[in-house]
Amino acid sequence: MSIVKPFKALQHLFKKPHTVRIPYQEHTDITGLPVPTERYRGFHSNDIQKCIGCQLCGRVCPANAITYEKFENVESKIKLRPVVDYGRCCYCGFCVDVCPTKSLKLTPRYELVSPNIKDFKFIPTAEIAGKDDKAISMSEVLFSPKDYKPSE
Amino acid sequence: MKEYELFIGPQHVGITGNFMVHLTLEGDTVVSAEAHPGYLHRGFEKLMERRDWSMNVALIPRICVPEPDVNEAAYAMAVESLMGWDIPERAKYIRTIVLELARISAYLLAIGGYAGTIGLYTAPQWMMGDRDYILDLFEELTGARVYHIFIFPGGVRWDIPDGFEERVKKVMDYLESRLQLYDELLFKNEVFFRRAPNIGVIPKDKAVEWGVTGPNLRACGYDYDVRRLDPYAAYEEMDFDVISYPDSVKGFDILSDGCDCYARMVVRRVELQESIKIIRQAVDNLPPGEVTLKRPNPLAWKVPKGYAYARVESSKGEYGYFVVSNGGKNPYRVHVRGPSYTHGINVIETILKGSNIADVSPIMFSLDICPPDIER
Repeated sequence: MSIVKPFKALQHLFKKPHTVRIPYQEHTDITGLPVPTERYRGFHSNDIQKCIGCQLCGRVCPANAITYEKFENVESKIKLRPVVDYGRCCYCGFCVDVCPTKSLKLTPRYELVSPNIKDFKFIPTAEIAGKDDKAISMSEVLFSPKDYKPSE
Repeated sequence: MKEYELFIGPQHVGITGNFMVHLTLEGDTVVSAEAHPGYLHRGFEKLMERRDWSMNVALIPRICVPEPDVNEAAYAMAVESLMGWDIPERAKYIRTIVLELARISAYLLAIGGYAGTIGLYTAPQWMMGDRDYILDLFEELTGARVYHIFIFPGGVRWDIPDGFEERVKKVMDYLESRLQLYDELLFKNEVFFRRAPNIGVIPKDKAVEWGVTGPNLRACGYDYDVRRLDPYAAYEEMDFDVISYPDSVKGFDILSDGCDCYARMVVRRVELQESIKIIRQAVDNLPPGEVTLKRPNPLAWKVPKGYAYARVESSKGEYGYFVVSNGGKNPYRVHVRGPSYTHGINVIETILKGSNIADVSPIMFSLDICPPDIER
């Protein structure tokens, strides 16, 4: 025990704080690599033209979060495409593992703010992947197959 | 003096989670204690009977929130032994890394929580901050911070990303440099010396009879560790010491005969070092090859009839899964042997008797009770 020892605490006054000030500061790991990385399991993205409507994702889902809606202007024989209920989804990624065409993916995007609970059940599109923003907006997702316009 | 009643929990800063202890007090002394679990009962064992073998992997991490990976590992090992699978060597090493990282993060929570209950509030802040670096590693490896859903029957779900070994080593170096600060903050602190020894003593001859396991049993002087006695993952090839108090806690004062809060916390502190040692070895000796067996269709697993028991050493004690299969789509029965059930009901009710009211929370945190695992 020493009388000087408590004053050692003063050195911590000049250190950088642990806290990350999101969104002003980027969250990085110990080496400066930004997290979340690509492997992060956030919201889904689904290439609706590549998807064949096999419905395996709904069968493997442990939370029963995936239902289907019928699309008119898609090429495949089965016209059903997944609708994900984010009130139920547990982000396990089993649906992505089982997807035979790899059209369904999980993106590192995880923020969705809405005052309406119905907005958390939507049809993921391919546009959700490939944006840096962590938050997704209502215009990026589909709530009804009628809103879908196939790209040229 | 007249007795009075006091409820600690289910919403109380000094409780380990959604859990309540009903105390009868005489002055400041506890006359009797009654544990009241039930706030987190979600019926996992029954739910597992209704889901496919592969779907259960997403369910079971929720049984123990601070350290979910042990559940995945124990379930995967039980299913593998039913299927007769021998998983690749690289998967075993990755499992070891994940399980040890999870152990460190659970120990940081436990030690920080304990320090908070005796009034040293800096420690929990620092340990939560340092734990975040481990969660970052988990995020890079598994894609999630808390519920990783990574260890799958047949191996692990993904290989490690590029440069992950270096990042793990960097976090380990950082944590090792922090251990000395933790010592100054808590383990060599006068407050800890006065408030931990001879508090919450489990009688040494009763410890085995009561089913105490893990660091709590090692604090009673038994060198019982499932990692050594029944090696799983890659622990057989790892060089580490089983820490038991007072024999192997070098560098720390021996202030009591063991079995108390002091011994339990010091054992956890020394095991942090051992975990860092194991992770470094596993990262250095990572063998090349596949990380998973070629798994059958997740919707149609044919698990042969029979039963299997698999056990792992978690940061709280011995975790076991007893899985029965009748050859069907779902498990016929899954029983979870959680360490917190014994620590949180029987042990706590007995050792709280006669203790001071201010020591109730430190005793609970030193046993590292996890309420979700009591109720399952």
